[in-house]
Amino acid sequence: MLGLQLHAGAASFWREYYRELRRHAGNGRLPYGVRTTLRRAADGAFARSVREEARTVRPRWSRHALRNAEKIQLATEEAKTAAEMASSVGIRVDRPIVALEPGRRADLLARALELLADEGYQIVRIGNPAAGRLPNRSVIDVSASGTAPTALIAYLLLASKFLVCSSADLQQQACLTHTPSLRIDARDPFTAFPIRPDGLFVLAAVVDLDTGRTLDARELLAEPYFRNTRNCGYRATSAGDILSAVREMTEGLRDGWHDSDAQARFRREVTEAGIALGPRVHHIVEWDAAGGFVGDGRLARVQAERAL
Amino acid sequence: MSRILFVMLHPGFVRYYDEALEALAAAGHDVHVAFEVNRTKLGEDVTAARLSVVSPRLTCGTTPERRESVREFLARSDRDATRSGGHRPSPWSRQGREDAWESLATTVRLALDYLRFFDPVFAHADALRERAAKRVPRLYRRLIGLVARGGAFARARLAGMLAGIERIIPPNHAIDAFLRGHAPDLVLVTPLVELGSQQVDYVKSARRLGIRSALCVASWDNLTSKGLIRVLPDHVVVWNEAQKREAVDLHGVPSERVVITGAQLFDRWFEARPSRSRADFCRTVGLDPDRPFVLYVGSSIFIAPEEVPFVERWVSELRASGDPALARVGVLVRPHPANSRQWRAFDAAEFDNVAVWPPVGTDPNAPDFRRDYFDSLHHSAGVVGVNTSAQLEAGIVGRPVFTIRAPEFAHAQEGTLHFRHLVDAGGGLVQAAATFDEHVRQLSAAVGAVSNGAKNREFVRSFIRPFGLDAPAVPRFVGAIEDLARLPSPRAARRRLWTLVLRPPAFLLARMAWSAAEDRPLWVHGLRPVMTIVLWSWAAVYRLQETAGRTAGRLVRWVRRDVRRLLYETSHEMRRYRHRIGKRLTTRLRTTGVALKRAARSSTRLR
Repeated sequence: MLGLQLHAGAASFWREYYRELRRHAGNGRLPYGVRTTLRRAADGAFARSVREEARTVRPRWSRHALRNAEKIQLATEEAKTAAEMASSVGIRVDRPIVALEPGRRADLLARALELLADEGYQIVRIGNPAAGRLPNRSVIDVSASGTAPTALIAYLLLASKFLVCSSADLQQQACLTHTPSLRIDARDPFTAFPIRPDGLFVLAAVVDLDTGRTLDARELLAEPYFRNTRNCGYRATSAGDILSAVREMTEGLRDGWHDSDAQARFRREVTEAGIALGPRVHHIVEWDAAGGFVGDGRLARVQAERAL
Repeated sequence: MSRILFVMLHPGFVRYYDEALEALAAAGHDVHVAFEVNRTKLGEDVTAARLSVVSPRLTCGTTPERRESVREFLARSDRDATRSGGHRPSPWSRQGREDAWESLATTVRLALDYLRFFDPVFAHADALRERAAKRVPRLYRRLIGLVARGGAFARARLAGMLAGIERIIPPNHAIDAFLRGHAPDLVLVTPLVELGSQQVDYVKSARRLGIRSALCVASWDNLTSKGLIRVLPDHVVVWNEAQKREAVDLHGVPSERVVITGAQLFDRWFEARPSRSRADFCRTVGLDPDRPFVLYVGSSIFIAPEEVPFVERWVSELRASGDPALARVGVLVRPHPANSRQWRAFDAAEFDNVAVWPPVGTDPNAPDFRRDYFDSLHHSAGVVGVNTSAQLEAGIVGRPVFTIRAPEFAHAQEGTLHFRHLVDAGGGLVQAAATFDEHVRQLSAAVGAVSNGAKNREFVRSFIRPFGLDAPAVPRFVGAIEDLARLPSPRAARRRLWTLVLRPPAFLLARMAWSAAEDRPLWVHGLRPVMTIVLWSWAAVYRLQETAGRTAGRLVRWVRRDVRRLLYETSHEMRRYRHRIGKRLTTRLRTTGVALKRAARSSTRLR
């Protein structure tokens, strides 16, 4: 904690020093040679402030710790209460369950949900009720009340065959319950890359708001994207990609997980980009993706093959 | 005929008054419109240029330039900024003193604007308060918050103190000269209530010079969502009774100073007629002409920073509602001109019978822009929006207007006072739904029926045309301005002795305000003199070294030249000397030889 504060102090010092030097460098009454030297010194101070700032970022999680984390279990009492609550809303534990947290466009999940229903899965909606109405009537909705108890969510995650989610929080919880997860609407690979080998993710379409151009997956691994995210808009993952990813998920669970060439290459590229950008991009440090390990999961095949 | 000076913040405000200004010029008045800031983001300069060719009596120009504008002030306080500053004048120079007073004025005005949002009437306006707080230098922010939470008495005392400081601030001589130069009968200002607005100085100068002044309230949210009228002009021109109440209750304007004229900017909407048939319009924008369509009107960036996900959800809800009318209804999205970029991320092709129009990036000053907008309102079955003036325009056109109270827009709906006009004034214009289900029911009824606009009329009569639906507001506005310009000039305000006495100590405050506006850590202010001394010493040494280097170089060059010259001349001399010696020697030898020869010859002869 003290170390972080020291780094924050140092970052502030170098940033202010940089601004002072730049201010003087703009003074036309100083000799040209002095101003040139000041400008050079200011650049140095700025670089140091950036380095110090990068050291102040506290990662939200530890990817290594999560990879090796033991599966969490509910206490017997809590598990009993949660099971009663689940059964009261019509969830049958004897049938395979898929927990679902819809993303920005609930309607885009329709075909994927049909597929799951055809395969005999019982779909239970958790998470934010404001995300929109699901088109499939068979979905059991425990989010309708607004806030489902944490124990019930944990129980459902433990009982589910897999989770389809749009938030990092639920993806992380699924990691702790050792529940396979499929993350949809991910805005960049570093935030969403699954840590466990039974995880998948699909990216949202990232649009450059100046030109309307959709960025490709490689551009999401480059520094300019993280420097100017305000200039980007997002479109939800397409229905086709979600359907393919859900199909890959069910196949993976049934037949075991195998990376395609494209998926393995994409993981390698994300890892390398994390190492390269870590010292300069806070976001990557924040999501603990700069240490040479991003996770054993993968980008859904449909997107990986398109990306590379 | 009168001379009128209209001071606007930027040319974007012309659109609120263009018809009124033309009418004033046509009535024989000389009107000069002066802009404080030249904004070109949405082609506002084009509007101003268009205005100035309407009549020779209508001229446009700029106000005196200010070194420390509110924008500069806010830019200086940006801690994350990495740009370099230029040269700063000495604090004791005339320029330095003026900068300091400007800083104090802006600080006081921003503080007053922030303070107003602690009034109980703004209890739910967290976003407005937050927006005002961001502009106040950090040093004062916490202090003001602390005092303001102390209750009405503490707030009143603090506001009184700040108003007192405002009176001590010396006049801006450039503005005095500007007003004297134009010698107007009436000074109009708009909007005056922007956070920290420097237009106050025009009102102050007008009072000092004995010129009548008036604030023209440009839009329906100006008196509730922005800053205070900090120095009262002689008159305030508003649209309706509701705004009059706001001016009196929230800004302390005496009611006899308020003039109601109606909303002059909307007159054109009462007269407008569609330019094409509904079927043609639908084909142009890419909607199915056989089905009715609902128009979604976008809001500004403060109201709806993330509007696209909401609209995606809204369209999905309509499609999934099970209502056959809404499942196939057309949806036309009209982005807000100043908040249109985000719509590039909206993929209308994902939905059936949905279009965005006009396309993102369309010039709002294009001749067809307004006509097309009217067509889209006129041909729609209903209009949906979060909180925008387009809903007022829809009300005038007679379309049913809807909104949904969404949690992501709570700051812009329940959190603003002007939203209440939409739902309350004249029985309410907008049908507000708490849930999508309720909204779907309301919309379904509207899409199925033909609206005759009866519900909107009471609202329009009370809010837009308070003198009757058939009484246009432009002539009322022009008449009101003419009446004000004809009134005798007020007596010039005298300088108070106490303001002169308190000015020197207040200058220390001004210096402090100038420094605090930078919003830097305190140690920076401590480091600054040391750094300046070190730098100037270094510069002196550098110059000395440079001079010494130059002198030494010159010396070396001189010596080298002289040595060269010496060597050259010496060698030359030596050569000559050698030549001379050689010559002499040769002559001597020759002489000696001749002598020897003669001697030898004579000895031979003797022998």
